[in-house]
Amino acid sequence: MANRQGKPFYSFVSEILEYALKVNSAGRSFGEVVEFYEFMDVYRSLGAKIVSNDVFVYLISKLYPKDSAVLREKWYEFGRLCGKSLSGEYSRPVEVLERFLKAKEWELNEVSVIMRENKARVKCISPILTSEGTELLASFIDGVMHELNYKKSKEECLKGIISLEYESA
Amino acid sequence: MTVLIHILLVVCLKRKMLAAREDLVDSVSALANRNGLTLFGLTNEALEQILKVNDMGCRLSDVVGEFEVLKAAKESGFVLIPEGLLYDAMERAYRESKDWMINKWFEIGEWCGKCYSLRDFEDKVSSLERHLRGFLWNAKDFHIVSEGNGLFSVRCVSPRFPESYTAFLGAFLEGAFNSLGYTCIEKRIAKGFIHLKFSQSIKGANAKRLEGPARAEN
Repeated sequence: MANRQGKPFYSFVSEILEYALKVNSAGRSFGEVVEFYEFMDVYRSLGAKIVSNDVFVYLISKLYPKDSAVLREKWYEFGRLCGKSLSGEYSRPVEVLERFLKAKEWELNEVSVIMRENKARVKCISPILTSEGTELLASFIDGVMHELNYKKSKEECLKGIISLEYESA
Repeated sequence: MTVLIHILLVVCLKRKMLAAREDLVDSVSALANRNGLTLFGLTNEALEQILKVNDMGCRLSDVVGEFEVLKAAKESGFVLIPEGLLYDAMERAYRESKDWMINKWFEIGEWCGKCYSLRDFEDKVSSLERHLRGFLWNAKDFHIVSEGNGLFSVRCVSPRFPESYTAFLGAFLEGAFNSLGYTCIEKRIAKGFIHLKFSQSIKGANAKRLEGPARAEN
């Protein structure tokens, strides 16, 4: 690799160590950063956009009263695309789902995906998520889980709290 | 001066020696100790990740760079949303409350620019470009070019941008440069195309938004 990049091996190793220290100073490990990049690559390739939360909240508050079903459907479809992509990239996609959701919904305080036999429980908590945002995120998760061959068996959503249960289809 | 890191290959139990700068090795060793790891384990993890990054067809600098940019996005209050939904919502907002939205995007741009003006970046405009390139990851073409004498031209092209998003993004860029002390002296915005020119504001003078509608381009 060092040869291909036209660097002396000594410099190449030093560069790796420099990056390891840099990443660590941001409170992350190399593995986490590389995985985050992979997840962002999935979102990017599926056409996700980065937009100010202020603008997003305003847009949703304007559209939601009239078009909540359309919005939920769009998030659901986006979730399905992400689910498809995850099943293509990972042999056990449900196992990476928790980190995948954390990477996207970076304002979430708590995300957990617990697997028990053929059941999966997804839980998300964020005190700053709006009611509309909560419902849209639940639709997104639904789309992902649908694509990973899970059928919803229970749903509890409150502003900032999502608790979903799925059974393997 | 270099020191040698002993890499014990677990599978075949052979040693390999890697040379690296002493100060780096000392820092990595201290880092390993703090995290309850061995230098051997930490170095192996780093090498494994390097190979993974290489398999993805990119370089470590890209991965770490993007991580930093997205971390900055997160800290600046940005979120990830599906493109189709954003564009539909923007189009509607553009029809119903265009001025409010343009002002909002301008304000957010100003806020972001202010963050850069307060940070210790050596070249604030270059840092802004690097971060915006990360934020605008779907834009086919995004460049900030220094033309000398405190002049900068900004160009952003993406055939996928609807008229609304182009106008809002233009306002965002104007706001960001405004906070860095630049005034917009030329503005050309059309669906999927933004060209802005900025000049350094005279000290003490408050930069103002370029008034009037953007000149439509075919």
